[in-house]
Amino acid sequence: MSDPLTPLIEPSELASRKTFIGLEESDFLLLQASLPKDKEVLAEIAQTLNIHLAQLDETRLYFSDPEVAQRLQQAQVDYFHSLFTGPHDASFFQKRFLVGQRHHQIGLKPEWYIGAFCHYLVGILRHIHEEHPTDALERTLSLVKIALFDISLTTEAYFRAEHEQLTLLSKVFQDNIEGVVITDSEGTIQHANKMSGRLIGIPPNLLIGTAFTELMAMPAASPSFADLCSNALEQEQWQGEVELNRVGTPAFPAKVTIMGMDASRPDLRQWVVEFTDITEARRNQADLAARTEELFRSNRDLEQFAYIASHDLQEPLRMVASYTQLLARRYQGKLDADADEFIHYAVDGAERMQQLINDLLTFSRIGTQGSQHKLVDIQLILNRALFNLKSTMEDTQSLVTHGPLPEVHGDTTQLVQLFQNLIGNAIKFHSQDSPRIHIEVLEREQDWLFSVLDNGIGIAPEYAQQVFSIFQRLHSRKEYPGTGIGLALCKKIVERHHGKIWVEPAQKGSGSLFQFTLIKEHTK
Amino acid sequence: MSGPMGRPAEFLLVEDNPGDVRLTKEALAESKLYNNLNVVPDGLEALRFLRQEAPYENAPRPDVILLDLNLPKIDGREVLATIKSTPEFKRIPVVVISSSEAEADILRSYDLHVNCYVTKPVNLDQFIKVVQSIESFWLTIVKLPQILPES
Repeated sequence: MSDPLTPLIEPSELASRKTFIGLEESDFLLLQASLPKDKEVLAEIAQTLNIHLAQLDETRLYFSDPEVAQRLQQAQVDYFHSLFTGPHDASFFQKRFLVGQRHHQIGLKPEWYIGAFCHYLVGILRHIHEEHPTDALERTLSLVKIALFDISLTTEAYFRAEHEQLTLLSKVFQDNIEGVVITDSEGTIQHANKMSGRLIGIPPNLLIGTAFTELMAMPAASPSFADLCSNALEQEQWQGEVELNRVGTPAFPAKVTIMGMDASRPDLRQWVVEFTDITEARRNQADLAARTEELFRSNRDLEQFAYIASHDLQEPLRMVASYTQLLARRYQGKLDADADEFIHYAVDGAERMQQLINDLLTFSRIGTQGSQHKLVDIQLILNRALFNLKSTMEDTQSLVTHGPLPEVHGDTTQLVQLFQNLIGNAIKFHSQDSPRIHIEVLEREQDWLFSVLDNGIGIAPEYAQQVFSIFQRLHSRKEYPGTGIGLALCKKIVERHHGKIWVEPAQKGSGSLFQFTLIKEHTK
Repeated sequence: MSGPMGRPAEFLLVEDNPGDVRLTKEALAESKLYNNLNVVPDGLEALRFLRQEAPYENAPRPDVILLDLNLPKIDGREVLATIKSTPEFKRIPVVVISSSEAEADILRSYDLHVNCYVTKPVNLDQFIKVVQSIESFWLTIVKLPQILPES
């Protein structure tokens, strides 16, 4: 029966209260002797009460379900039965307290309880007067005393619970991490929590009586507090950013929420205004934007740099190569064999360097150039790539097959380059068998998944990432010539098309499975 | 063997890199055609040469112009635009010889009505072949107008 939340009544407190009302042991004896002999009496009173309660708006809910109504009725009968029988010990009075608390929990106000009590009292008193006409007054007095005592304990528990709830809500209001103020219908602050005072820079009690609009640092065109309130009314609440004044420092940007409280009349409506300082959030946002811009610029600069550097490097390089060759042309045989070999390496080095520079140029152009993306037929792209690879394919007896091919949004030149590099790569790194390459496309929700499967020498999984790095080579130049830019170029092209590219060993045989995605809808 | 005109074929090479000038000279020196290579180091001099302004009062009218794109003072693209928009010079074949393989440079040159665009090969043999091909193509294969330009 004991509820840990139920405040216990100290025995001394109980005793003094009994004394105030004049409740004595003789009253309890008299009450026990006054219990109606006919058990149906209490049930009848309960019935008439509940018929009455079922008609009232506030209590109808509890009596609409017959089963619940029956249970409530029995509880009432037991309750009043115990009023007579007791035992009138500490737990008896503790139970009154519990009733008040429960009623508070379910939102049953004390007046209903008192009303119901009164109804029973009237019924029981009538009965006592009929049954005990000789000493009805004595019995009545005892009953009234116990009734008053009961009602006082129950309502006290109710209001104590109410008070605790209000204290809790008030604490939530006061200690809220947001500034919260409540204004009247005119926007004059009635309540201000601690944080509101801290944000505005004056003690909360000094905010009371101030018009909220005075807290707003208002540029000429900005809406007034009243405007914001009428917005709040239309859309349940208003939320936005407002510059608020802070005593002694410049105004600060605040995120503000305004809610109107329900009221019977417009002039009674109160406004709850919540606000937080978003200076830091704004700064972070600005920092992020600046960093993004900076990254974008440095990336662009880098691409520009690569382009200019590789372009300007070609001039001196050509000089080195040409004049070494001119030396060779003019003095071939006139110098010794060593000289001829030296010249050969100088020329070879210059030629390779030019290839690297050209590749670097191509690579940087993917970023700096490239046309507007448009809808292109991959079949046509593939045809062009295969045409460009014609002689290589004939030399190696390569065969390229494919499933149905879609149309995608992209840059024609870059996509041709992508297919040409992937197929060219598969041909270049062929096994003893003639190159067999198959292209398959899978339509997915957001993108197309392209698979390029070959029967070549394959790539060990540990190099799956590395192969896409620029100038990354897995083989010596003697085994496979090249600068190691082909796949890096593929990666850059795919990424420029907002896709991803990766490689894994083929399921069967020794080859590789290159896969990449091209998204269906381009934002650009 | 003399040129088809009975006089040396006049080339105007607009090139600021002395190394390239020398290479072009070497290439033309090996030619069987009787030619004369005039060289100017920038775009401004090129236009003066064509207009026979000082110190080029006695400059010959070139039969073919070999034009680099990246030039000091007046850029090769601007020289090209000026030549092709001047009635007096627009019929002179202009060959851009550039180290740039950029699509943008190629497009721009043809938009400005270049007669052909050639990239400078790194390999000397190829370079010589390119210069000699230009020479033989424009001087012996192509039929150019013989009449004097409109004035």
